[in-house]
Amino acid sequence: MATIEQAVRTMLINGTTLSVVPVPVPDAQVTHGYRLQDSPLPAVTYTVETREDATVNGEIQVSNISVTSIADTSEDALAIAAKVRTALVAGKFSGVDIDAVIITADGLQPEVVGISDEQEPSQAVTQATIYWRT
Amino acid sequence: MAVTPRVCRNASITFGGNTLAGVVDGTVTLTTETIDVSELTSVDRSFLVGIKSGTASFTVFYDQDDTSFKSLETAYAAGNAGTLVFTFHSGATYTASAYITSLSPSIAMMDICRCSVQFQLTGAVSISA
Repeated sequence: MATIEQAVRTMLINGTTLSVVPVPVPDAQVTHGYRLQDSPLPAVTYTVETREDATVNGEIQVSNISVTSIADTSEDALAIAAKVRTALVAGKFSGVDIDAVIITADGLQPEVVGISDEQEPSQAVTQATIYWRT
Repeated sequence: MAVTPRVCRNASITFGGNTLAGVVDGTVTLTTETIDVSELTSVDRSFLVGIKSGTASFTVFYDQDDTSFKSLETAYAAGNAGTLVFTFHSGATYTASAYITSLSPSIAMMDICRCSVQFQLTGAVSISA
């Protein structure tokens, strides 16, 4: 059965938007929910935070999604986030018709410089509302 | 007898034979005018029932490529009455002839295009159960 989680991932890795330079993100590093702490960077994670009826008969659904672009530097995280915004488009992905995408917010958490475990990569978060149907 | 809550997912609206797609909400309002027959000596006001009338409204996603939505714009431009049917759940319908009195496409920041539509019902309203 087609799920919105599958569809969002397919939308993100569709074509070469994320995998081209600058800061290429391989498809395998686009994951749902989380990434392992020692997995390679850069990476993209995403979550589907909500799912509600957008119409009375429930034919159209609305979801809020959050896409996190993770890289060693803020500059790289922002570069990935710019590509994420390009990748978030309407279309049919994994059997789900995504009718409309509205980017609602962007945010940046800078990297933390430190020793060993104190280090944290930078994360650029893109939030969007999508209208979709199966 | 206990009331059975009915989910709105089974509701639908048709106008001019077209079932509207992308309905966000809808309302039918039936009203009865009253005639004040209180007398000078009355302590409490008294009324008689007068003429009945009704209006209806709904909001849909605005999409001119959708046949059902396009039919609303066509009916509004022509000023033609059409048969409006609100189905609340299986078998429970309000049916009347109706004119579109307002068609209000709207836009808002970080939202999608919507259109609210208002109707004046004309003639009797048939309520089936």
